[in-house]
Amino acid sequence: MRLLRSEEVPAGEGAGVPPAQLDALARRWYGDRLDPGWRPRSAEASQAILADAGLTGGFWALS
Amino acid sequence: MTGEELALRRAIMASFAATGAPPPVADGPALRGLERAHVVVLAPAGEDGVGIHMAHPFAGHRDGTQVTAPGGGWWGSCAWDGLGIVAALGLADADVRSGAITLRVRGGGLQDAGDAVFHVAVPARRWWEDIVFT
Repeated sequence: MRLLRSEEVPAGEGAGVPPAQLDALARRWYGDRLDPGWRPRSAEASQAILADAGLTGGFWALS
Repeated sequence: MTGEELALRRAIMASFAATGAPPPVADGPALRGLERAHVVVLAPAGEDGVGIHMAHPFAGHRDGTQVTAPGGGWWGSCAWDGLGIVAALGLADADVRSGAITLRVRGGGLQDAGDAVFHVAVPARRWWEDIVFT
């Protein structure tokens, strides 16, 4: 996973996420990691966070 | 996840949050349980024993993304992790430097990053086949 300029992105490979979308994802994905009551979340919950961030389809399927 | 594993995880995360680095850890069932649960990624054991390579969003290595803010500095493995550190720590102002690009968070919001793109090469179902590469 790399942060690139748009012209550096390999054509036809992988997926690109704009920074604002990545920021929204990071807040949901990691925002609770230092909470005292943190517990591992399910794969289904992680998948829902990806979907809420607009990352859907086969490439973003966790299983 | 056992109580011992959760307590060890809290200690690891507290150290990362406070210092940007992992604490010394003893190898054992709790640490290996965290590894199996993908809570930590261990570094190859060296002369000083086992080390923490990653405890997402934090990284013990210095090859990825650097987060700097008033009062501290931290490392993650990629820009996703770097922005995750900003979120987990509740930083209002921070710079997230990944390669040649710096994302700037000011007043709790991400500033316009121009034409930057976060490129994900590996499909999600394969991320943990080689998480260091991912």
